[in-house]
Amino acid sequence: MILRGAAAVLAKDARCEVRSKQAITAVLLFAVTSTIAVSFTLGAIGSDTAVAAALLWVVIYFSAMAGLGRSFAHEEETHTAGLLRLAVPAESVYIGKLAFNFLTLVAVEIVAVPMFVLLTGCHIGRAGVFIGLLGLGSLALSAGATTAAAMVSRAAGKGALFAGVSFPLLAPALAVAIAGTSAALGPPPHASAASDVRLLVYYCGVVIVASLMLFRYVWEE
Amino acid sequence: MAGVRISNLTQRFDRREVFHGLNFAFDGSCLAITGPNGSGKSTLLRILAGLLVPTAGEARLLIDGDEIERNQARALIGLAAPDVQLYAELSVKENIAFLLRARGLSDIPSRVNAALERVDLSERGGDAVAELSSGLQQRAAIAAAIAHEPSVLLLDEPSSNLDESGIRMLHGIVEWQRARGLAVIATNDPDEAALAAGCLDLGAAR
Repeated sequence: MILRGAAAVLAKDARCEVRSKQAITAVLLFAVTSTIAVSFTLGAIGSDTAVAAALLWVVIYFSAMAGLGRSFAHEEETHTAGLLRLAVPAESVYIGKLAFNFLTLVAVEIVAVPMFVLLTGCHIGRAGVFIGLLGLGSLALSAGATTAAAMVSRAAGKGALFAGVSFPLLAPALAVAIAGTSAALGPPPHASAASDVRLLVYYCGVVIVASLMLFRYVWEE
Repeated sequence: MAGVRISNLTQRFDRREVFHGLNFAFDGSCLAITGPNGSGKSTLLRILAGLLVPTAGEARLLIDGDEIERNQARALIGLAAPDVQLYAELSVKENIAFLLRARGLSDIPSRVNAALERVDLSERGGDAVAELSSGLQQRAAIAAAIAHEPSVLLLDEPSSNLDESGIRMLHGIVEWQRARGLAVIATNDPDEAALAAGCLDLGAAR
């Protein structure tokens, strides 16, 4: 029942997004322009893996901030949140919104990451670990951002509040993703990347489980 | 027997008190909630629907003598209200199908068609909600509220924006709902209030 509801929310959000293109446009535009700005300013980063990893995740993080915060605010502003509350269990809403935000971020990364690699000239030491870190990091950002977006959706000044609430929540995941990506971009050994992957898995697990337990109180009243 | 029980209900928004210590009991199949603008009709419907937790006291809906619990509300309650809008980007059919799917119901196409037929909106069911006139949007909202055949139908100013045939359709919906459970109508229209077996006048209650 929970997963059927979540699938319905995901399908509904995807259909609305295909027609309005609000979130994907905001996120993609930010990702592309910031990647181009980085490459113009710094040129080829080449073998400086720490700088490349930090810049890549800064681009992904701010892209996420530009689009994912709208997931609940839009429902409140268009007066459709009541419809969701009436028909869909809170847990289904969270899982559906999380899945939609994650897929939005992945779709943007499919465009932005190859562009970043190409323009900055950074070398990917181990593609499998790199892609795994991107996926886990994106899931971590989506999980935290979805929870923060729900918390601020009914507040005045949502934009600033979303950035303020989500940063402390997302900072640990961001730091781990940057460290892991730096290791994955560099030459072997990739031992530290493996520990970062584990940390991101734990982070995603904790944030998603805690959000599922607490979301009802944020969402319903 | 269906009904409504309100005991010691208080609702405050910041410093403004909408109602204080409201008590009311009703047994029957159709209740009208009346009162001037700002008297709390919509607020009371939101509390009954479970969308708003009151400051104090409680308001409960009864079906067959049993109170509807919060976890049953999704299946048993339908609400059409100005502050509960459909998704403008989706068609009426897509909106209703989403709500049925989210409630875990099966046989979705036939339920969607039945709801649209009931509000005389079958021909425009494929249109995006944003493309409909306000009257047709009101019909779509009523269709969305009745598609899962709820035991309790809550209607907030349901005839607003409706033309004559729409008002006839609405009266038919209220009669249909009365036979199935409970209809609660928040209204200032004497004709609509006359459909009900009982009336809670929030203006007099203040």
